[in-house]
Amino acid sequence: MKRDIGAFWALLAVMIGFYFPVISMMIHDGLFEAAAGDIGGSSSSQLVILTTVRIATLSAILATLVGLFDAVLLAGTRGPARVLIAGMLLATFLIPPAALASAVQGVIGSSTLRATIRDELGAVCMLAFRWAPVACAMLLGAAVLWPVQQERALRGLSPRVALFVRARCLVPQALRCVGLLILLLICASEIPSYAGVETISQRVYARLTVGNAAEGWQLALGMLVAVAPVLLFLVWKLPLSGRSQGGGTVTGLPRLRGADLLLVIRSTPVLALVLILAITAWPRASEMAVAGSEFVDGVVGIFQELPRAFIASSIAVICGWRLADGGHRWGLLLLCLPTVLPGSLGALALLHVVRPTLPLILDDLPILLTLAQTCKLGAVGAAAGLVASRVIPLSESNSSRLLAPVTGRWRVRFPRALPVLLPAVVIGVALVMGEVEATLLMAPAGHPSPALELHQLLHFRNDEQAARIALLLALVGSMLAAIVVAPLRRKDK
Amino acid sequence: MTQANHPALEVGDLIVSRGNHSIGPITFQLSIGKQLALTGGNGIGKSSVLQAIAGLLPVTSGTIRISGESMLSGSDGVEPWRRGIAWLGQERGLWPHLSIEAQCRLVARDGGKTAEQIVAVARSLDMAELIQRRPGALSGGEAQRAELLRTVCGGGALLLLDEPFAAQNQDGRRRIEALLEQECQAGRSVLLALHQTDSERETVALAEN
Amino acid sequence: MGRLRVLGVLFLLLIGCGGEDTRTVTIYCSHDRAHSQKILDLFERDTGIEVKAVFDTEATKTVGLAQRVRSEKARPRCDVHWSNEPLHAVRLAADGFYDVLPLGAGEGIPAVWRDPDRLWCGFAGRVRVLALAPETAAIDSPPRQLSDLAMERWRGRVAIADPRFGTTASHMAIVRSRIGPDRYRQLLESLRANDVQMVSSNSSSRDRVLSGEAWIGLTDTDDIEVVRRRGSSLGEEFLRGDGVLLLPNVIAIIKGAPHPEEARELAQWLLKKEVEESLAASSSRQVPLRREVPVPPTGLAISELDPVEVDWKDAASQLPLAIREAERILLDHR
Repeated sequence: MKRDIGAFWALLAVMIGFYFPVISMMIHDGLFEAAAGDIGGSSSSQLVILTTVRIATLSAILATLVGLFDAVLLAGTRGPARVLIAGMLLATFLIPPAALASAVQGVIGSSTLRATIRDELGAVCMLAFRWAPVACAMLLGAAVLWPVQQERALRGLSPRVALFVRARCLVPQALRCVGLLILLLICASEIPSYAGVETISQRVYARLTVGNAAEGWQLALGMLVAVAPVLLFLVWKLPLSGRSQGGGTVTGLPRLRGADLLLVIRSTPVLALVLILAITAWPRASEMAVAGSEFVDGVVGIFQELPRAFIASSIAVICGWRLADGGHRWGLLLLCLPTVLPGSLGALALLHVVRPTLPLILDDLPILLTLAQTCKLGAVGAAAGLVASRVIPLSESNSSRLLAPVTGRWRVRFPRALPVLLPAVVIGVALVMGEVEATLLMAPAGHPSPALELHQLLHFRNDEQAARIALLLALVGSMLAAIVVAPLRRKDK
Repeated sequence: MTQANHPALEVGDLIVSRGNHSIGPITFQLSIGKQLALTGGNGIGKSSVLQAIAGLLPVTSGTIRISGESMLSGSDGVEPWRRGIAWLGQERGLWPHLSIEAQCRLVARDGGKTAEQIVAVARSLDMAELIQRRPGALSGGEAQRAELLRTVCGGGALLLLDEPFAAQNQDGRRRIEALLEQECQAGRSVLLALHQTDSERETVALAEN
Repeated sequence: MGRLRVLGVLFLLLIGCGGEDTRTVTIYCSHDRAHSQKILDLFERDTGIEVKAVFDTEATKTVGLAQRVRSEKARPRCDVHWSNEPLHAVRLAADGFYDVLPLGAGEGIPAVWRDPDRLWCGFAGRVRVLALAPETAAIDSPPRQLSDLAMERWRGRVAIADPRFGTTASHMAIVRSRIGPDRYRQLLESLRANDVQMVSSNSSSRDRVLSGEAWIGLTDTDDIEVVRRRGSSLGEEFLRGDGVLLLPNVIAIIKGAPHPEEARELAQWLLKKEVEESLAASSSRQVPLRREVPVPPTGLAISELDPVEVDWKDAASQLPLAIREAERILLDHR
């Protein structure tokens, strides 16, 4: 009982920011008066749900396969410019989806992304292209934090066999990665809309736009039912990791020319994307002054948003870790749910239910926005927490449990979990910086929002400034990732 | 929390499961200020019994009393940190981000040794110059002694030590034996899991059922 | 504890130090940020009232500002709502979200573009048009009305934005209001049977025509003007067969606005003819509703277009059904 009460604070944010307002709104909008059979909407809406799940699943699998490929090569070999390559691979995630899709479409053309019956292949490819770095980061973290004895044993094998063993050993984490990505992709709407594919989020928006909230909730619940198995898989048993200290230096890592070539090939589309954006971003001579001023505004806006994004992401990750560390699987499930639903639903519920109760003086602060975005990162926090709690060797974890719970948790296990938690925070920061649904609804007037501004610029065809903002976001994100990851890098002692 | 008239440890018909494998029933007693060794071949379950007593492995059936108090009351039993024990595992459990001294001070918070006592024990284990280092900077044998140092520095009247002499040369063994003897004289009791022991130490031999 | 109290007081002081003697007004604006920002900056300079603006984004990516207005009903943060299409504004008016505009606001704008109860007023709008690919049959003999898009010669060559959002949704609702539900459904079914390409937005529809993947794209005049100014050439057809459809921008004051006086000033200022003139000259090429407002040579004059009269209330009430049927017929059968 005490254990459960002690962990309750980790669910406070999601209770206040999601469950309480959402359930209140559901009651208010008459969802519970509808028949159980209405969940998921009409049969055509259910087909859209299936399409959405299919696209999310295929994208997640493809992104994880690509991420696994990248992670195994980066962790299992050494070569020149690896840090640069890793940073570049990250760019596709740090560039906002609208800018990515717009650039791809501008070069390739929307119909070229079409395949078979619908444009699903284009949507799957673009989503996988964007999210592969997240999979790579998760799996690379798991690979680098292997117990040193296991790492040393691998280095005695021939390089190709070692790479295969490394990939094989990452399979449990890769499956978790697929699960996490499915949850994150299920309400993706920007990239699929560029590919001409309708996802369930757009159908929910269409219902909300004309005031048919009850049906919007029905569709949302339909999504939830569709991904319930993934949710359960994500938060349930995760095998324990190694049995001794983690780490390892680069000494003994093989140098494979083939690996260098493959990484270069893998980086080429990313380089192409960055070049396209850079060329687009370069202003005409007559517009240099204006472009310069817009650029400075963009930089200021991004750095103004960064601390808030960091706070939102950190809260989500720490809450996820706390629940995972305490073995609260149902708590982790509750933490994951808000990620599945479109951000607009949660944001509207917060505005209707919670905002009127807050003092007027807080209206000019982005508190509710931060809360909404924290809730939306629940699955990232849960996944990071689960992996982090499993990465610590059992012997260390056991010896920490002989300390008083608070001491053992925060003085021993939390610092040990940081190599996994910190990269997850960076991922969360990137997601918050690119988030538009809750931002449009909740950001106080005049609040900087690079992602919203980028959307507006793309919509009104100011491609140059949009490209500048996209590149800035990628650059700032890469810097943040480098700062966070640098201490965790393998280096020769 | 030693209560007079109660043994330091009583184990009665203890059965512990590890996967599909069952260990026990085991029954033994450890008096206050004494040492007892569980012996047996590889895989017999010595470590599992120690972990079960420490509360780190679930118990299928039986009783565990430490200083007269049952450790198996309630749905999950008494939590490890409340059992009044100090535990040394077979695998390295040092925390890589803290120096040895910092780890000793951390575990000593709850009724453990003072700073001076920590240094004294470190000296007895020939660790005095090494306690400022982090685990990554120690050799295998040094890490083993460091972990024993940390264990001994904690509070808890009952020491549960799994293979404390592993990776030690003769001098190291001698120092550890002397330390354990010193702790017993101070009123602590020691349960060890060993592959083999000399005839001077009281033993309980675990055998295949 | 003492430190916490001090921090709390400091925090409250910091929030409180927002310069309460500065007059401010908050506007939720769906019009193109680049153009509307300039206009709002002019208002700030003219009046000294600080404008805090929230700008909208593409309708298919999120629920729009209209929903934000609805969700803030208990305690509005917005003072003035500038909507770039009228039907959602009309629905908000019908649901009691708007306050009465000051007398004289929008003087000179014909009654057909205003709410009879003065809850909203239209100004400078855009026209629903067909973008036509150059050097194709679409330029030589363009369709004149929506039903022409179902002709065999245009099979698979017409792009339409998602009919559930933005001006396309408004267009569908107005069509349904004018021709009735049966003919509306027939129209949709004929479009579907003719393999119309469904895209995410008006700009995507225009881009399909630009890239040659479609010959005809249903879009707005401002979407065409933006690319024309960048050197692209696209044909344009005003659907005179149906009656030219002009969708005005709309200004309204939010009921219970936190700064009602400033809201009235801003609303009145935005409805001046100088603002219409500015929008007409911008790359959004808006059409002034006042006939006397001059337009540039490449601009559009309302006298030349002679747009059709719309029953806004009826069209707004038809919006949910129009969207539903369009979704069912055009999207669910893909």
